[in-house]
Amino acid sequence: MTNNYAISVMAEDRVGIIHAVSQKISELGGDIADLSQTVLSGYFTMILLTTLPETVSKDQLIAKLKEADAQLGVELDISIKMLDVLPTKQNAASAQHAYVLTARGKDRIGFVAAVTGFCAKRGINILDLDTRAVDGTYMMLLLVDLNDIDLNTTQTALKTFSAENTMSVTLQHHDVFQATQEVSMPL
Amino acid sequence: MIRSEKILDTVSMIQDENLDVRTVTMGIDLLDCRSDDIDRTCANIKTKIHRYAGKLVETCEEISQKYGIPVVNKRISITPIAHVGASFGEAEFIKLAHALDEAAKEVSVDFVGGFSAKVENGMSDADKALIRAIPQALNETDRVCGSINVGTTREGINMDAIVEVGPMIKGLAERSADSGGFGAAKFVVFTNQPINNPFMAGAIHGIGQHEVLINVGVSGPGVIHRALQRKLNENNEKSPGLHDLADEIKRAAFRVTRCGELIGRRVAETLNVPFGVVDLSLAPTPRVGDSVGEIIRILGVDSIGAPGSTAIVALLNDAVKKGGAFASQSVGGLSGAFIPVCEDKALADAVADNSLVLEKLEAITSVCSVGLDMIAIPGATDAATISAIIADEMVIGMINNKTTAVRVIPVPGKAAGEFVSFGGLFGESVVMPVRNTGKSARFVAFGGKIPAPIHSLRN
Repeated sequence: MTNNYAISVMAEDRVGIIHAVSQKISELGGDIADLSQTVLSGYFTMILLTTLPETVSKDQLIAKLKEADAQLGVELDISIKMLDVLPTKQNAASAQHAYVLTARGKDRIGFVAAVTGFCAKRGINILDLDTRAVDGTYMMLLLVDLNDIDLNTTQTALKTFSAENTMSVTLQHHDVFQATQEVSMPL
Repeated sequence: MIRSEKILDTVSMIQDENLDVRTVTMGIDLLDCRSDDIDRTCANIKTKIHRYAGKLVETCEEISQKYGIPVVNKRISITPIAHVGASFGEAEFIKLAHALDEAAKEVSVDFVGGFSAKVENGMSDADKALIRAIPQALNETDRVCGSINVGTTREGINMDAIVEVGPMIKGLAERSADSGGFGAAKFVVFTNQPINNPFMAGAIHGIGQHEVLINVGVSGPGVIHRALQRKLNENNEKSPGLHDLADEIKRAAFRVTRCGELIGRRVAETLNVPFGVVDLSLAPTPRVGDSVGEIIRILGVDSIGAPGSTAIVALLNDAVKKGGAFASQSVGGLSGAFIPVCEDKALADAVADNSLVLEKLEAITSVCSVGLDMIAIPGATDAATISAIIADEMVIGMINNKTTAVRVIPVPGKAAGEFVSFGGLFGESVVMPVRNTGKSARFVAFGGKIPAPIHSLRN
């Protein structure tokens, strides 16, 4: 029998973190089902799903992973959650309903909250999000799922939203970015 | 998800660099609308246009909203009307123009092109009636555009037709004197006219095509201009050569064309009609930042029309085609850089400061599409001189196996250096001087044909 875990790891970024963590898991006989990592302004974060033998307790798992600290010379901030079943749901919207929302405006407190608030209020699920700040301008790029959401109404609401919040906001089907940026996209 | 830089790149093409789809043009075959009764023919035409194009504008707007790319013009091209109205006389052709105008207004398209005839070898009675009808027909209607193809590389140039077209253009302008001769802006004369061009005034749905289809014309001078600017601002040790700049144009043209292809295909899919072609022309507008003239300047001449301008346009035209050809499944129409003087602020400015003259424009048209386009000339220019200007431009197309065209506007009552404005996308310009007027009458009076060149014998 096996147990399923979701493990998240945060630390100041350095070479070897993913190797150290995955090595410890494999030493415990764990199988990694899915993993995603990103580095945000030099800060590392990773989430992974793994299946471990029932004989390995949660405390043993934590202790094993913490061994990596000394090896890496950095303290890993680890959080572990046991799951009944491994999630298998795909988080990508079907190509038909994937849109890209961009918002550009003066960098200020509440920017992200405002844009994500717009989405949350209208039941728009955010699948992927990236932000950047350049010369006092803040930019958000969101991949959103517009399945079962009326495009017309959303576009109209976005116009009001962008005027009220003095942001420049666009909402465009994902295909247009693939068409203009990727040779392989069949039209 | 596509990398964020790439997303921002595309967003800025649309938001800041004036990327749009210049036109979605539905081609409709009207041959089956023929009848021996003019009123029935007119009714057939209106019914058919309504049936196919009833949802064109609405669909373009939906698709435009979905992809966030403006579709500036929605248009219709039709079977050259001389074929549809054969057996009718001048008065009936004018009625056909009114029927087309009413149909265009009913379905809310900007223009309908195809008040046209092909006369490269000779003129049928129908062609003659149509040509006589053009001045009144185009002036009494708002949205009808006309064109005459007077030559091909295979057949040569029909000078008899050109003899008639000179006075006809003057007639068109004079009848619309209160709008600066704007009537002449709705008419263009061609050699090697493409049968699937989506751009006005020369759009037609030629013989040998689908019953109905969608063609698309892209825009994009602004995108290319900014791409070149970025390339030149890069802090590389070695400054770029022209080949590097040509490569940059290719890449930008690829992206621009893909937008057009995407929008066109989605419109065609939604309307359940075949997709025809993307026309790879760089079509400028009078807006600053949407100009072919600005591209010519950034590529190294301080004044448009200065020596080097022709070479620059040749490079630009070729690079646009290379980038675009790879981006589209089917390329057609005119496909090249346009240099419509009034419609391009930088070109119009170059006319105003005398750096760009008619002869240089003529030279440039030998390496680009399409020809002497949207040029305001003095209203007093004699008809024979206009015919001779057309003849010069037509042989450039015939000999070089390419499309050339003339759309000049002899502005009534205005002399060289005076200002004329046509409004909106048609722009404005000072009237360009025409030198050596009144000296070509003997040549034009010969009439007849300029024989096809030796390289027309290709079989």
